[in-house]
Parts: sequence; structure tokens; C-alpha cells
Amino acid sequence: MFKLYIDWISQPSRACKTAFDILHLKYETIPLWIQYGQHKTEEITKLNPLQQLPILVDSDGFTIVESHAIIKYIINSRNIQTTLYPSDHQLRAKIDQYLDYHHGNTRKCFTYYYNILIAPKLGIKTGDDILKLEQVVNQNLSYIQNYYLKDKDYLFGNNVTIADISACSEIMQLNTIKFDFDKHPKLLNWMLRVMEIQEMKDSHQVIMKIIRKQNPNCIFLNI
Amino acid sequence: MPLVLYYFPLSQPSRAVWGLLLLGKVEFTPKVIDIMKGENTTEEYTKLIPTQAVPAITDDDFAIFESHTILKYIVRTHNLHQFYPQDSKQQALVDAYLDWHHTGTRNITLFLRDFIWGPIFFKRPAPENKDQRLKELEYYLSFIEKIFLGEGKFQFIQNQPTLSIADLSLINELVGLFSMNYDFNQHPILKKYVEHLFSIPEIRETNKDYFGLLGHMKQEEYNDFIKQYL
Repeated sequence: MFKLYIDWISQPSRACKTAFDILHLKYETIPLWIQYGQHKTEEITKLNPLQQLPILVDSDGFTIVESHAIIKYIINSRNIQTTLYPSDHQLRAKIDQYLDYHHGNTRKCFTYYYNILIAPKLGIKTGDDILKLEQVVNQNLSYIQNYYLKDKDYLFGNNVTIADISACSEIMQLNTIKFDFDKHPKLLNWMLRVMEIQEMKDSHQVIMKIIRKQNPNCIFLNI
Repeated sequence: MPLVLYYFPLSQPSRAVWGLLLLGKVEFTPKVIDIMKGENTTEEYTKLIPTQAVPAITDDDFAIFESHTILKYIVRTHNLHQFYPQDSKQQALVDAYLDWHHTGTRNITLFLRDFIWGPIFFKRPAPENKDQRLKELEYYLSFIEKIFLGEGKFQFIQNQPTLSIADLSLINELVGLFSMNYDFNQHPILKKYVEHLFSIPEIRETNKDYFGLLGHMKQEEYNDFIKQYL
């Protein structure tokens, strides 16, 4: 049985947890709190010198980091056939294309959220241009809506894939800072659709608590 | 129909894909998309690749961008598994580097864009926090040496037995440091790695145009280590 070290507030952690739960895998979840420095202990640093979560440790001690690599590792090593990450070369390449794009683009949601909610609390001046970040986030969301999603139910084909799980987990963080999704109605509908999945709801319980406090009128509180 | 490669020789991810095509002896039609002239923003190119990203490939009607995805697609469809392990653990280790690359190694290009190429080529003023950004860059470079090159014990990233697509991605970013006349003596492990990878003819071939440009720029006298490549 493998171990998955996560932080419920970490978007890539939630993506891994959700994917593995949808696949009904048996594993041990070890929740940590980055805000209390639990990612910087000697134990975690030994597992991942990058001190980032999530981390997967397989039963033979094999350790892997980076959420997309973690999910693919489990699907590959257990030979899992799943619509979450189909084996067709071209479909897989399209999903990989989104997952690569995610790091430099969708992940700006994290930078924006960090600047609005976290850095001020910690008294940190990041030097980032917040207005510019907001513009970039909106551009990226438009792009996902208009290029990937278009009029489909999910980013790729008729089924939810690890691209939807990764993207939606990342973008959900924006609800803690009252982000206005009015410019992205199709995207919002897609998020609501993905959040209907029980495993997504379960992974987002802690985030929902934060949303309830920071953004009490958020539409996602009613799902 | 052979693959079509849309690339720009000054673009690091373009050189990674180009390098794999040469190393794998894959038949392809090269099409240069000059980003400096805005050739990636034409209606025709945007129709093909809506993000206007370079590199991209087309395989008949199938179009794909994002260099790491292209590299993996080429491996899978042309059976070039010597460049990307099929064993799930080894593959996961290579994937972990490739994912980390986007927010780690790629800071080299982001630094160069803001502090070197932006001001020189686009008359864009550099941000004010150069010292902080340089400090962050040093942190990432040390990380590559420590974690992905095993403190110098690994010949290739993640201790793979031969060159992988992870190395193609890293080496082309690393030589970006040449354009700021970087003193590689600060990072002897990276210095050794550059020397090792540049013993491979295809890597030298795909960097010819970039080194040609550096030779022309002559912003300052380059250090001896860099000069030998120009």
C-alpha cells in the first residue's frame, strides 16, 4: 500500500487524492499543514528535498513528487485502464499538452491567491504586480474555456480526465479570494459539473471551510 | 506524410524537440517560425496553434504543442524508448524532472527575458529586483546539481543510464546562461554536465544558430568556458 503526503489546502495534493479515490485505490493519506511548516521537517525533507507536497511513497520505498508525475506513475505501474487517462496516443498527448501548459499558466491562480490572501498575512512583499496577475489569470481562464472546453462537458471528450481534476482543483482556490467568474460562464458551469463528483467534494472539504469564511456568498457552497 | 516541426532556433524548448528528432533519426519537415518577426502571430499559425506557442508539430492533421508533450509523443509513436524509459518508476522520475522544469529550470529564461533580452531587443525596462531574482536563480541551479544530478554523481538527470528527454530540456535552458556571460565556475557540476552533453554532435548542431547570435552580440568579452562554444 502506498502513502500519499498531502496538504488539503494544496491544489495539486487535492488533484492526486481525487484521482486515486475515483480509482478506488487503497492507500494511506498523511495530511500535513504547510502553514505550520510541516513540509520542512527532517522527515519530509528526506523524502523530498524540494519540501513540496504532494509526495508519494510506494510500498517498496520508491518516492515520487510532482502531482502529474505521481498520478501517471500509479496509473502506469498498476496497469490501470481508465478514462481518467486513456491510452490512445493522441488523446493522451492532448491531455499531456494541457498538463504541461498548466504549470506555467493555470498555476498563476496560485500566485494570485498567494498575493491576495497569504502574503499580506505573513507580512511578505512579493514584488508581484497584482493587477497584471489578475489580467493573466483571466486570460488563462478564457483560454481554457475557449480552446479546451468550448461546448463540451469536460476538457477532453465525454469523460472527466486528470486534466479536469488538476485544472478544477487549481481554479477552485480562487473562490477563497472572491474571484469573479462572470467573464467565464462556461468555465463556471464546467467547474460546478466537476465539483459534483463525490471524490472532488471530499477532497475540497477544508477549502470549503475557508470559502465559507472568506466568501460566504460563493455559489460553490450550495453544491 | 513526415512530421512537420514548427520551431525557432533561439527558443530553448524548440531545440529540445529538434535535438530528439535528430538523435532519433526521425524524418521531418522543418519550418522556422521567427518569433522576433511575429511569425507565430499570423492568422495561419494561430489557426493551427491557438496559443501561438513554438515549438509545435503536426502529424498529418494532428497538431500538438508544449515541448515535453511533443517529446513524449515522438518517443511513443517512433519507438524511441531509449530516450524515455518505459519502466514505470524510471519514467516517473523523468516525468518529475520534466514537471519541475516549468517552475524550476525555466527561471533561467524568465530571468534572461526580464534582464537581458527584454532590454536589448524590445527596449523593455528591467524590473527592479535583479539581486533577488539572481539569488532565486542560484537557488534553482544549486537544486539541479544537488537533486537531479545527484551532487555530480549522475551523468544524466535522475541517474538514467543514457541521455533522456529530460536532459534535452535542461541542456538547452542551461546554455541560456551563456548570454549573460555566466561564470560556470560557481557551479562545477553544471559545468561538467554542459561539457558532457556538448560532446554529442546533435546537441552542438541544434545550438549553432544560437551560438552564432551570441558571437555577433559581443556585449562584453565572454569568459573562456563560454568562448570555446561560440
